[in-house]
Amino acid sequence: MPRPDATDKLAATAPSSTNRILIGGLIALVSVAVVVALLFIGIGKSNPGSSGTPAITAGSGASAGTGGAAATGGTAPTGATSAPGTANPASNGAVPKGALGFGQAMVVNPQAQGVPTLDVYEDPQCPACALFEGRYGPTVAQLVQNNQVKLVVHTMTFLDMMLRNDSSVRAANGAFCAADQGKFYPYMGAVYAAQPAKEGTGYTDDQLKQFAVSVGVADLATWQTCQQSLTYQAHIAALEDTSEKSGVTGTPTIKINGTVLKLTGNPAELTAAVQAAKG
Amino acid sequence: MTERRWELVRGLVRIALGLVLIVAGGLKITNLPASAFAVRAYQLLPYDLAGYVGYALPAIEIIVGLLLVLGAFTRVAAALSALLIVAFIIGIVWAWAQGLSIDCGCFGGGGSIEPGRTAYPLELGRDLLMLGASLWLVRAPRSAFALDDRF
Repeated sequence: MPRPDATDKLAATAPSSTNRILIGGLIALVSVAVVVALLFIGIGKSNPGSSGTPAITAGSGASAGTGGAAATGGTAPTGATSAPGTANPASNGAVPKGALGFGQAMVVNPQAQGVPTLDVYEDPQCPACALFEGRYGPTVAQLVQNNQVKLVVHTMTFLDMMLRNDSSVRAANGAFCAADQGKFYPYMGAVYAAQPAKEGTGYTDDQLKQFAVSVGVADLATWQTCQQSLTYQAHIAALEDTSEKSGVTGTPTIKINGTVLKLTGNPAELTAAVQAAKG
Repeated sequence: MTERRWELVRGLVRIALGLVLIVAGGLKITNLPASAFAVRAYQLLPYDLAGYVGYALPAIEIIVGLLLVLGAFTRVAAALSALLIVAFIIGIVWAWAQGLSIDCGCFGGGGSIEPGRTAYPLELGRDLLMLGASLWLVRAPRSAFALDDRF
């Protein structure tokens, strides 16, 4: 028995080709229109520049009374959605003190020589990073203190994109402004210690300033200006890019001498890994 | 079952497949940088190319999904759907084989997750099911509720 097939029926309803082209064109048009419409909705939502940056200016201007900096506060953010390029931020710009270069990581204790390198990739808004800092932070601080490791911090900011805010970039910028006064590491510690319980809440300008005060940034006015103008925005974008290109797409990622370290929650693992790397 | 019944079943399968693709594309198209990030997390394509794929993929999914729901150019749309899903399967198998711990980013999200939270078998199972539906429609595109019948 022949397989049931629709040839007869198809022949019977013999479609006219003009009709087919017409309807096909119509569908294509509607599809494209829908996609374009969705695209616009998407860009409107995901561009932090449209609402995020002015908020910084207003917020900190009001709290610090240095409203004069408002003009610089308007620095156009690198539109995250400008092109599929996203991936191609500016190739130069201001570099915070202690960073290895534009778009390069921050070395916390450059005086440590001939010891294993501990690379830490963290996003200020990442809950697992706050957890890592809580559990391993004291151990890391100890290792750094004794120069038993060279600590290299790769600050990442992709959670801004996921959470649709700009808190990671602002917190990173705050840390880099603090770096200029030798307070990068304590500042990041303060950020993680105060991370909001609900991911996505982010940090207020007042909080970010409070971190600077609490870790003892000496010249607060300079920090404030640096923070309001998002001085290190281009550096931060390039830094994110550098990390992603090196294959890191999640935080926290911990590496010892370039090898990813799997941690299960016990600080002793870290000490042991450092010992082994030294070996 | 009679051929008419099969057409009805295929019609429902076609619409379901189309809806899944529209939802998957729709959830991603509102955050294209995140979509690009999710594609990069596979570490399969070169960095820049992965960005472009991430930007284009949601739109392609929506268009193919719409064609399937409407039943327009069913065979072509089903073939495109099969190709897309084969690409997804390759990506997930790759990520699994490489020992990456990532979310497939199939319905938004994506990127690295804790090693214990990967769901590769589930993601693959879903994709294989969708691949089966697509191939069935390529083989026998005639199905109920289809615009293809009207012209």
